[in-house]
Order: sequence, then C-alpha cells, then structure tokens
Amino acid sequence: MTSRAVNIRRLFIANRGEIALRVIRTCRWLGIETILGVSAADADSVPARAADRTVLLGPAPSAESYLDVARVVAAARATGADALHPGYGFLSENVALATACAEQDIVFVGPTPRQLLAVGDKLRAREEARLAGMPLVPGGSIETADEASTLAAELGLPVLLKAVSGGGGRGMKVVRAPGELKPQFILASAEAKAAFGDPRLYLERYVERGRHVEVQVLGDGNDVVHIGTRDCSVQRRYQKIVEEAPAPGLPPDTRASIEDAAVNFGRHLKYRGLGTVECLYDVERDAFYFLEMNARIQVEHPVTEAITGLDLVAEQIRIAEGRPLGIRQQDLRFEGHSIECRLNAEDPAQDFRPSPGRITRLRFPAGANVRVDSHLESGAVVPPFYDSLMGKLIVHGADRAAALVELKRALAACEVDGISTNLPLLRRIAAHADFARGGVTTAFLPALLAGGEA
Amino acid sequence: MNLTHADIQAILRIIDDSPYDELRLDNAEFSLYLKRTDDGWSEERRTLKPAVPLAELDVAPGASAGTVGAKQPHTPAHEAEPPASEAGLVDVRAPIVGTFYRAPQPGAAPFVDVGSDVTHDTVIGIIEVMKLMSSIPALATGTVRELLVKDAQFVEKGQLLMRVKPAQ
Repeated sequence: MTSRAVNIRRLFIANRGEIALRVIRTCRWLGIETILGVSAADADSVPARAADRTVLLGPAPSAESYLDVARVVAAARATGADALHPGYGFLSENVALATACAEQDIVFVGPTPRQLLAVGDKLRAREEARLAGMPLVPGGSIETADEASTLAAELGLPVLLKAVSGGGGRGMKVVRAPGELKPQFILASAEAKAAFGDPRLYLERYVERGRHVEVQVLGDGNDVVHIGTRDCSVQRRYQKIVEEAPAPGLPPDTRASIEDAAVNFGRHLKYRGLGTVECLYDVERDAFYFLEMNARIQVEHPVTEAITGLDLVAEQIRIAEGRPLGIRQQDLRFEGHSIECRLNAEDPAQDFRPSPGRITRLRFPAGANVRVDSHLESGAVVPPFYDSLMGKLIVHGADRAAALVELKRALAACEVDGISTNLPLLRRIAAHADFARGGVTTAFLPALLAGGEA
Repeated sequence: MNLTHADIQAILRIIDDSPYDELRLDNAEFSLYLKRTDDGWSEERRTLKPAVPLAELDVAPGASAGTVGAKQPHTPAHEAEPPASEAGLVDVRAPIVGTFYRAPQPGAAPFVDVGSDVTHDTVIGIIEVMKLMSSIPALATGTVRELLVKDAQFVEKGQLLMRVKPAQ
C-alpha cells in the first residue's frame, strides 16, 4: 500500500462553493495547478473564475454533475489532472470515485477505498469503533417499522432514527412517542433513499442532554495524530450552525480520553488522510459515545486551523502525495479559541425555508482576527440546486471570551441584501448568555428557536 | 478576482492608521470596497468581467475517458402555460422553487395521477430545494385532470403543476 511519494502538479477539484475556493487557495500557495469541474449553474461563480482552468461537468442538478462519478473522473482524465480533491459532501466519501481514481492513476486526496467503506456505512463504522475500543450508544439496524418498534421498546424512548448512509443530519428523526415511530420511519427511509440512494435506517437511544464533540485526526497509514477537539453543539435539525475549537469546558481527563480514543480508532483503521471522529458527549454522565467518522475535510475545519496555525488542506495533499506525517503530536500547540458561524441562505422567519437568488450586496467583516471563507460576493447568485451554505465567518481570540467579542463584531459588520439569511439568528446566538458561558447542549438552539430558555 | 485574505490584510494595514474610513478600488475586472465601521473593517467585492463560456465535457456513455469539447450548455426554454382542456379547472401551482418529484422515491407509484381524487391536504408531490424536501399539498378538492410537469423537473415558484376539476 505504501509507495514512493509523488508530487501533485495538477489537481482536479470535484466540488463547488466555498470549499472549492478554499482548496484553490492552498493549491496556489503550494504551486499546484487547479482545475475545477462545475455545473452549468456555477459556470459564472467566483471559484470558476479563480481556478486555473474550469470545465463544465454537466447541467445544474447535482445528479448530472457533481454526483456523477463517470463525468467527474472523465473530466479529471481529460484535463490531465494527476490528483483529485473531493471537498466535503457530494462524492467526498464515495468509494466508487476513490476506486475509479485509483484505476485511472489519479491520486485521490482522501483515505483509501477500504477505509471509506469501513467508515462510510454507519453500521460498519460502529463495529470498527467497537473493535477499536470506543464506547457506543446502544442501538442497532432496523429494516421495517415493526423492527423499529421492537428495538425502541427495548431502548426506551426517546430514540433517534438515522440513515445508514447518511451524514449532515439528513434522514435523522427523534421519536418521542410510540405512535410517531411508524410515520417517522417511513419519512426517514424515504429521505434517506432520496438523499443517499440507500433507504436503510439505524435506531439508537437518544441522549437528551448531549453535546456534539469531535476530534480532528490526521494519519499517514502508519501513525495517527489528533489535532484537538471541536464542539458543534449549536445545531438545528442536526445541521451545525456554530462550531468552535477547542470544545469548551470539558474536564481535562475527558478531553484527553476523547482524543486518545479518536487516535486509537484511527490507528485501528491504519487511517491515511484527514478525518473527524464525531462523539456524543453526555453532559450528565460525563461520558462520550462514538457517533461516526467523517473521512474528509469538514466544513468546520477552519476553527482547528485558527488555533493550530496548520493548513489542513495542505496536510491532506501532503498525505495524498504519499509522504509521512509532518506533524508530531508533542509539537502541536493549541493557541486561544476560535468560533465559526455558518451563514446560510435561509429565512429564519419562515421556518428556515431555503432562500436562493441574487445577492444584491454582500459585505463581510475584514480584520486581523476574522477569516471569511465564502465563494460569494455582491451580485452573485445562490443557486437553488445545492445546499444553503453561503460562507463561514471564523474568528480567533486569546481565549473564548475574546473570540466571542470578535464574533459579535464580525456579525455586526456583515450585511446581506437581496436574499434572506440566518444572520439575525447568528447574532442572537452570539448574544445569548448561555452561549457566552460555553458548553451548551444540542438542545440550546431548538429551545432558543421555540422561544423558551435554552 | 484573486485577492487573498492576506492581500486584504496588507491593504488594511496601510489604511488602518490613515484618517480615511473608506477605500474603493475599481478596475475593468473587479470592484473592492473597504469600509471602517464601529465594528471594524468590512469588505465588499464585485466581479465586473463577464465570464468566459466554458467548454462542455463530452462524456460518451460507457467511455472510460472523456474529452473536453466546445458544446453549448443547454438552456431550458421557458414554456408558456397551455390553455386548460376544459372550463372551470383550478390551477395547482408550485409554492416554492425547486425540483418537483411526483413520487416519494424513484420507482414508487406517484402520489397522484390524472383521475386521482384530491382534497385540500392531499400530497401531490415533493419539491426539493437545497436538499430540503417539502411535501406539496393540492390546496384544492376535486379530481386531477391535467399534469403539467414531469417527475424530477425543475419548477419555478408559481409554476403550474396540475389542474383539478373541483368537486361539486
């Protein structure tokens, strides 16, 4: 498996939006030529202009462009790319793409197809985690609504329904009453089928007061290091809205345990690449459980970059080139605190209905302690075909309180005209006393939105 | 335009100590506007140069490799609404923009077809926009007489989906 290191010279980016621009930025710094494959809807986008070369993959719907393995691989071949970066979402954890790249002698910037298989399927991932000694939330796979009822009765309500092939919260439903189980099962299964082409579901105990704590790991196939924790508990319908690093207020022993467990899991997989081990932290029990592993770069990676000074895309490329880890665990330093907010094209006044359209004016904060990762600008269009992420505001401070001051300033300096966004909600979160204290649970945002006390 | 974060920081370092609160940089390709506020500096960018038309990827079915040709991207023509086949039909329109699906999943039976009886709350389809699925109710009571959109078709807000013969 280990072979001589190669130099990536021409990288095909199989993604869109802010992450496409993010990869282009690092490639420019590394002197790597970039080719971006876009759909017709993105032909005029900022990333399409920023890449050294841009090719049209297909029409606007993702199924005929960003999700079409044959087209993506053909485009990478036709443009002479020697490597492919899949970003996040779309085909980023797709085994067929990683395999096709290997067959075509294109370096896939990500883990091996075997590792994608091991963590891409939630059931398989749980089994691997169990073998690696990670604690698990009680639960199991279900194929029918009747099986779901039986298992839910064993575990006790509330329970959580999840798509086996899912991610990003889609296809996940909390069931609190026995009568809700069957309709929610049908809905979750249909959504899972539509979103991932796989209707299989998984059911587990739902931890009421839980935090989403994750560990960034990086491996070279021989060794694995952790790059600290992140907290992504501010979520709405399992979609992360605010993320921070490090996870605030964890007991030091617990933090060390989560980090060690993540490294052990990575070592068990002989993991090669950048990955995130997601855990559910049970606040009342001071216990953590494995949720899933994401075998790709995450949306929220900049908060880790902010406190470590690392460029995680550059680390991904280094590993993909077949080089050993350039980071030793003992050399990693975590400085200060970083918070990220996701600016989404959705209308909080209308139950977060997506709000695509033309942005007449877009003003972002600019300053030493603020970083904005966005593919949008004044006059740009948010197309209705893809997710609603417009960009990310990332702030850094000497400690969490300082970061929060920067966050409020950054949000105040932000202006969007032409479409509805969640900016008012982000400002409410940043101004909330519970958020200021740190360590809110995943119940914080739903309670805030319901008008109750979080 | 390829100004990086570092470029903007460099510009800000120059003007931060100046008495000026605004900087506008315009050329044929882009416009950059920096403004000092109580909350620090903000930036606004706008690209002015029109995009170069892209070559379309030509992937033959079953081919392992494609070529990059110069085909024009398809532009879906805007279609006018056909006149109703009979008088007294009620229009059912898309409440939101997105991709309309007639069935809960590929291969499944459609929610409704010509001849189906519907009531106000009958789900007639799903519209997916930005990965969010919304069930679309008929908002009419009667019998479906005309279907005007195909499965997996992109629809605009207000686009005619079907026509219903109201129940007596």
